[in-house]
Amino acid sequence: MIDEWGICVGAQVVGIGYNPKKLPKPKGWKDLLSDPWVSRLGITGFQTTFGTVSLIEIAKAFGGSETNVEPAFVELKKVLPKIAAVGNPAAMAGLLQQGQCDITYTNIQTVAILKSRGVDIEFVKPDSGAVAFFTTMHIAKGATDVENAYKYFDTVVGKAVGDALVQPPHNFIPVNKEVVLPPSLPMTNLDEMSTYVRHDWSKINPLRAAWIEKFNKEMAK
Amino acid sequence: MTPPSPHGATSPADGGGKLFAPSEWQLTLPLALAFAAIFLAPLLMLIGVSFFNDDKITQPGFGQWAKFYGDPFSYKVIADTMLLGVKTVCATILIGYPLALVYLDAPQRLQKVLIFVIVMPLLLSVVVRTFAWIVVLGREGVVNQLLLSLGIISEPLRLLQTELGLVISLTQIEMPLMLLPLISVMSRLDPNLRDASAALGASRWRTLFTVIVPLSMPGLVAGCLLVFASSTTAFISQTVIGGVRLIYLPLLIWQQSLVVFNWPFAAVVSIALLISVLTVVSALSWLGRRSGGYVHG
Repeated sequence: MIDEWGICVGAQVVGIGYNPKKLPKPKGWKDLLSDPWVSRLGITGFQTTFGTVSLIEIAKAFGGSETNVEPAFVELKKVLPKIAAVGNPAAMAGLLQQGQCDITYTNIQTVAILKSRGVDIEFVKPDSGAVAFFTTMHIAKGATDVENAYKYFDTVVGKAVGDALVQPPHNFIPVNKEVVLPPSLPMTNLDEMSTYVRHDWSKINPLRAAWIEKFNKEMAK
Repeated sequence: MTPPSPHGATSPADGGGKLFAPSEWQLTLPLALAFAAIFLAPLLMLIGVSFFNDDKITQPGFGQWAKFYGDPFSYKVIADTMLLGVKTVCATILIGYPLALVYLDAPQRLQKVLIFVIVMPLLLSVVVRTFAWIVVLGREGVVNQLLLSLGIISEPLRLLQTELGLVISLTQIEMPLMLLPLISVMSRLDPNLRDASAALGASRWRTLFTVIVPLSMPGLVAGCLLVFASSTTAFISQTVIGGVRLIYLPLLIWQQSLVVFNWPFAAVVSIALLISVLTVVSALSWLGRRSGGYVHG
């Protein structure tokens, strides 16, 4: 959680969000691309972390890996005419709310926010495992007030801030074990997160730009 | 709002002579300096940045230019973007021109109401209007619910994330930009000309096409120019209503600069957008200059 680059201050869990009133519960990533879910599926590209990890997991479900997302492209291309919506990451919550799509991959935070607005949505941990990634804080090179920066780090990972951030409307996942987790999260304690799928970003980052361009070309009408 | 007057032509309104003596060019200095600093210098920087091979901007080269213009996908995106502008212009003319004609013949009180109605969309931000269109065009939106309840369709129409939905919403969003120049020019039309045409025996349609349309050309051209430039660069509407399957140049620029941080490539795409839009705008301006001949003889 701490390395020479920075410190993790919050976590996000990625899985599948779906409308339980319109669709049966999906089991895993493969279900997204098959009926009855695919005709109500909304997808987004590699611009964000949750989009990237979800597409990597879909690729893995079809034989790919962290560095090889070709299978995801192949499978998506096959069902492309059936997919309900392909949008920008920020637009996905709005599309779910408007009923343009009824199932997509997303963060727990997004699901919690939509639920609080009265949207019918449930979070599902895929059978291959939910994905976890962390928000980190770093000190910029050449910073002048390093001592206070460290104190700020301590405050952010402290119990008081953690307690405040788990509440709506923030719905963060804390990294501090003393913070009590609300029932909206799919885990009862933070140790469960060590069973979640994590990715090696040093391998993924150099490839992301090319994936973004490929996504454009594959998805373009 | 007056449309740009054709270059080189002196308007009959200022008595036929020039407004400034050539020796008073110093009067243009403040604006020219501001223009140079705020617009020209960053533009030159943009062009400079495009001539680097790597995204850290350390090695000069033509790599990014070759990458963009060597990829057939880029030409598809440029063509799609320009076509979107053309479609929006045609749609706004089709709906806007009749509305301008109605304005022309309306009594004074109704004209005031019409102007307010036309300007009203401009009172809202583009973002708000765009999101309103999602509610209208969505699967469970106003249009679909109306058509379903009337029994005209049995399945909701797919309007959002299609080019049709995008053109429809852009037409409404850009309509004031077409109508205001049109109305401004048409309201200066000498009504005697129309009466003369009718007196000489021309039918209403003939009067429309041989008298009114040519005389309103400067306004029409100005409107086309504004609508084209605005709709091709309408990033928010294109991405929110069009979705990510409709790829236009503004989306590419945003992705390359704010997601991938490949500034040289983003600069190349930006320059492509600038050149494409400028080409069409120049062609329209040339058309406007030629049609100015109708107005001023």
